[in-house]
Amino acid sequence: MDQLVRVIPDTYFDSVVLMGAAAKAKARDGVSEAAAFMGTTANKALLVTAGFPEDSFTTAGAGDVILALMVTPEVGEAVMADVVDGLLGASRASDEGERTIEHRSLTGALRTIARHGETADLAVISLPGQYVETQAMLALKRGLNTFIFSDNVPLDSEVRLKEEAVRRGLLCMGPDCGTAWIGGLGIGFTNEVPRGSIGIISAAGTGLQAVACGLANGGEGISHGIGVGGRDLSREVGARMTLLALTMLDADPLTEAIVIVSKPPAPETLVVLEEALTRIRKPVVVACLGAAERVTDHATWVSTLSDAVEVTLAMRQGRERSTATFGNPAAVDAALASTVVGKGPLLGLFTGGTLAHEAELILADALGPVSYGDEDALARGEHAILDLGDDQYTQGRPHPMIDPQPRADRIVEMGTSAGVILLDLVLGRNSHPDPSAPVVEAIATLRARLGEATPPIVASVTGTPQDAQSRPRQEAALVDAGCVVLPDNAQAARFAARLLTEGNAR
Amino acid sequence: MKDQPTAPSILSTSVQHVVSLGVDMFADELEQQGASVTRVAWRPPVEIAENAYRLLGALED
Repeated sequence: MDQLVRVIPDTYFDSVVLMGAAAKAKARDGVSEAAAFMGTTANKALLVTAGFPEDSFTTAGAGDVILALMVTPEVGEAVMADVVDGLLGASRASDEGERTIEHRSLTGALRTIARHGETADLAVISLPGQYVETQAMLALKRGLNTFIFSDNVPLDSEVRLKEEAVRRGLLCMGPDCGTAWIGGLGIGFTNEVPRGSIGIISAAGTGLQAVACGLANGGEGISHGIGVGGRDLSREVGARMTLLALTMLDADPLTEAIVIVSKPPAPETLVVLEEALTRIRKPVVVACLGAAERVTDHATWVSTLSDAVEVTLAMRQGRERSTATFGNPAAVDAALASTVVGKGPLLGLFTGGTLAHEAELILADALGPVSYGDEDALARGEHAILDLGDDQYTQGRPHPMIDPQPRADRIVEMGTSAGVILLDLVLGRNSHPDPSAPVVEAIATLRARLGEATPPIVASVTGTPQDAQSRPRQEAALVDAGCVVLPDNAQAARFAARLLTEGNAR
Repeated sequence: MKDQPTAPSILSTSVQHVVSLGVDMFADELEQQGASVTRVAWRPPVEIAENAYRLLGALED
């Protein structure tokens, strides 16, 4: 393999464009590795770690693009030329298209908007983390709410931004916020859900999607879904945005009930949250993954996303909450009886972090220790869950909700050692247009390799029938491929656990 | 820049106009839902120290 490096000076593309170009190159014959980055110090360090010679890009800066390929000599130069042409061609098309970008700064954009008699009230920010505070602070000071998708924003920046937002009564959603709904407008990774009267506050993107979709599939709509970022309930951030969102939803006339989705808060923050809940007049359900279930005067605390959905639906529909572990026990028993389980441990390959965490909690309860995020655990015979959306898998690569191929590759590579495979599919805006397709292909490959010894594959689909990918269509494709599909992630995890403890061993 | 007074909650007014800095796919999806979106072709500051970048932000203020 040759190592080819090319620097395109004084050119900027956002990370999604660059990762798309790299993924396209990597799919070509003869290419074993492909990377496309802006020349930041962190990105250059990644290339050095990947084994590319430092002197080939040492002069590149943050305003230059670096392209790096590990490629066979026969096709190397041709692939590199195509990558360069593809990027620069896309840039030219964008410049010449009807969508013209006039503004080089937030201030200039706001000036133009004001000249047209309009008022901007939301900034969507997806910049490299080190530049976020300056832009987000400027937006807040100009009276804009902020949705910050970027990760790698320093914690002290987040605290300063949220202090400023609270002072102004503005939302600072994120950093690392993937999903929000304000009114009917979905921001980031969102699903087609109806407008309604339930407000959701969530420290997790897929958690927010799972609860909103669960409510939608149960006949309820949402008023707003406010992402607060994964660190909001930490000791340092102190739930600043959760508390503001809670107050805003309590005052919002469209919102009749509130659901909070979170990881277990820091102990000091839990006290602050519990105290804040005493002042809320509307019913509140808190889905705090892993926490003990309890009912207080001010909130119902549950430990899974699906329980949050069920408790909220029951409350809205004036019925008792169902405590059944499966929506259709007869179908589960039938599936259990007809499925043959392999000898290995469970392998969970997830694209949604909150769904992975929820599955881990359920499986650990049923099966004992489950390794989380350890690539080698399966080979040691341990049950293993991998969150493929975690930072360790997404540096320089698209998130698996955008590009599901790396997960499909792992189904083939790791599936041979698994007794049961557990998967999630997350649909909606900005996600892959047909996420079941690579999974189905991977299952076919695995089946061709293992035949009867192919492990059972259990899955759930987070989405709605109205999503462009269509939840029923995705579920049908998985069922046709031989998967057992459960209505939600918690039920899928419980079913996978039952397969291992009660299933028919091969 | 003069700081803006505290705005009415965005929950009561719904989103009026979005300014998008960064990844285009988010702006595209917002436009497809009918939102008014203005894009900023943000570029990383080249060869200037982080402190100078912060200073620029303050000057823009």
